[in-house]
Amino acid sequence: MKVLKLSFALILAAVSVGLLANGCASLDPAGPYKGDAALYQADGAITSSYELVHAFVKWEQERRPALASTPEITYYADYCREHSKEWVRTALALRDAYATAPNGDPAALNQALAVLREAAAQAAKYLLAATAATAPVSP
Amino acid sequence: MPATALLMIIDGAIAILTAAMPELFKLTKGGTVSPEDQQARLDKINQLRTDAAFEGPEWIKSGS
Repeated sequence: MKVLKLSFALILAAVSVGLLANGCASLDPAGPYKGDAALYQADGAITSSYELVHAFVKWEQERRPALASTPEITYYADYCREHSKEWVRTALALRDAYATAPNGDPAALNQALAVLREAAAQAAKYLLAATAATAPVSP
Repeated sequence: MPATALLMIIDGAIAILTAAMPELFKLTKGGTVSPEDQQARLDKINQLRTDAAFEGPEWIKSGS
């Protein structure tokens, strides 16, 4: 069980790092981001979080009858369905504001990204827990 | 827990994460993100501006 928890922790850490930085590589200045790594990383956090939450709600919708014994998963999926559009649109608006004025205060954008990351991390937790629950327990 | 079960769990988790977030596992050439990869990310961002990103049966609440 300790090994299982450790593997969860490692995978969640990888997700968190990926959502946080999504790579430390430099940008080709000829690209559309014109070398703005912060904007590139913010976009990576938004798209990765959306993709993970989208995968989660799709997974839940396809397996809802089998998930009847774990209603908290459907509850959280519904919570994501209700708020994801608002979370993403808020982050996009603040991202656009940053793109227009990169020297402004990034606190609001960081807060919006934190909300998305939290939703993605929670979705990942449920996905990974369900994966573990369906794995064989005896040799 | 047997090692094979643990490997199955990790394989399954990585498969889920890779499908959900392919960029997370993509390596860059020479540590530099190409203009094409940058454009791909920007295209994804612009897709999220559309209502279509939140449409489909998976986005309908369970009680609806």
